[in-house]
Amino acid sequence: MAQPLLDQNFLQKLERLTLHWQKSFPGLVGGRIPSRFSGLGQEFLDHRHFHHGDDLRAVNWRAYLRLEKLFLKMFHIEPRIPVRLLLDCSESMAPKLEYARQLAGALCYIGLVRLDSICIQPFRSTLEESFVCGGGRHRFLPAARFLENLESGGKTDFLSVCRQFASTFNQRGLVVVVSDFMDDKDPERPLQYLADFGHELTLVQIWTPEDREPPWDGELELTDAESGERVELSVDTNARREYTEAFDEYSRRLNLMANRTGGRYVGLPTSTQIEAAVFDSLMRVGVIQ
Amino acid sequence: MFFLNLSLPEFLAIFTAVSGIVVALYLLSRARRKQVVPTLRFWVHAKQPVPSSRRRRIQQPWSLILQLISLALLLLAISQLKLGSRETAQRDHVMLLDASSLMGAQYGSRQGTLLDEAKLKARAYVRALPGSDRVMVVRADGLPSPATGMESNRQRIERAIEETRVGASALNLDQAFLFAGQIRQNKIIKKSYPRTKII
Repeated sequence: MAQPLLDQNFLQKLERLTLHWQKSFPGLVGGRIPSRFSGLGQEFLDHRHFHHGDDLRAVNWRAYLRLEKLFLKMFHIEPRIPVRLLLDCSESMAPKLEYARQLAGALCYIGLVRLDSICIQPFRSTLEESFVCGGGRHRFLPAARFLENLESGGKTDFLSVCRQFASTFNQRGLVVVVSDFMDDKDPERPLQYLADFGHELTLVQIWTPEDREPPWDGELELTDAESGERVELSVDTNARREYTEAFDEYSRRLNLMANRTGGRYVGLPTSTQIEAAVFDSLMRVGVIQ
Repeated sequence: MFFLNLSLPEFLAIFTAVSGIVVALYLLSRARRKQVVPTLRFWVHAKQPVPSSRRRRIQQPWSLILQLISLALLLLAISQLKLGSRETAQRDHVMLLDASSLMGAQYGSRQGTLLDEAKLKARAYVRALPGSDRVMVVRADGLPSPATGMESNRQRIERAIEETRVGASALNLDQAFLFAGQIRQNKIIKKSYPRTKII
């Protein structure tokens, strides 16, 4: 019998958690996090002048009786915000895909329990077929099956993916990108573009211990898993140290970019247990609470 | 200086063959290993262009030299390098002293038997040997029987020669040579130059 994506005990622990975002998004009622945008809410936000065409039911008639001016009451809205999990399925993710699947599954389950609308969106050089689910924990099984059927392959192209994403999904929301961000072209600019478009980015960078600290020494012929490009190198301790520094610098830049755009960044080596990743790393940055 | 177990051509042949294997393995271990990595972008910092001529050269000669020296020392130990010449090296001797009934016959005009004459010659031979050589006295008649072990104590050897008496059976020379040959082959003579002199 195949191993389930996430075990039952872990799922039970996840039920206490909620996905959180920082930005205020406009949208329809039904969510749980207040927005600075006004709408049909319960909690009073502010007054504004009445304009032609406004709903008369929202007019503050007491103020009108005192001041003989029409003011409109505005209310806080708690909009229903879509959560989109962008899951990198490129060839470079092959050794990390199982980990990425489990992480995406955990985030999906947390969202489903809180009745969020979840869209699992795999991508390579373009967006692949997505899976949309919502409405409770009982919808998790199809989502888990969808995740289990994902396979790695192809090249990553963040520019193409972000363009396609922005044109496909008009409603702004939380975008969780689970990837190793190993695109030969710089992925910062496309992700910045996505954030500028109004989405809140949560970047989850996954790496294997070898990705960050390669254990090899001596004469190497390295092949890029995605492009197939080859390079011959003489690797020693210094070269490996420089490699790790370059990797850390890249992660730091991703972190800066995410923070600058009001998003979050989490770096996760695959040596970290999924439970620790959720209850420690993701909670610490506030992606889930 | 000479090799106890190998001749010089044998030593050189083995050393050349094994050194060739070691050098081949060394070069093989220094050959480029292929690795698939998620990206090459971080290797740019560590990138050092390697010219093709450099690849053919041995880049860490001390490692190889030490391996070859170790190999040479091991082979020298196996071949048992000895100081001095082969002639002056210690030898083991198996002395077959005929003690058959025939040796009781009178020898020439003197008052003595053939055995007495043989004993004289045996003692003379023993005294002529270098002090480091060892001798095993074997009394050969119908059935060869050792009178001593491999012995370097000359007094014991001479006593064994002296105590040899004429037997009642005829000499079985083939059996005696076979016995001497077995002593050579059966590693009774250990840590010694394996050349046996049969008198």
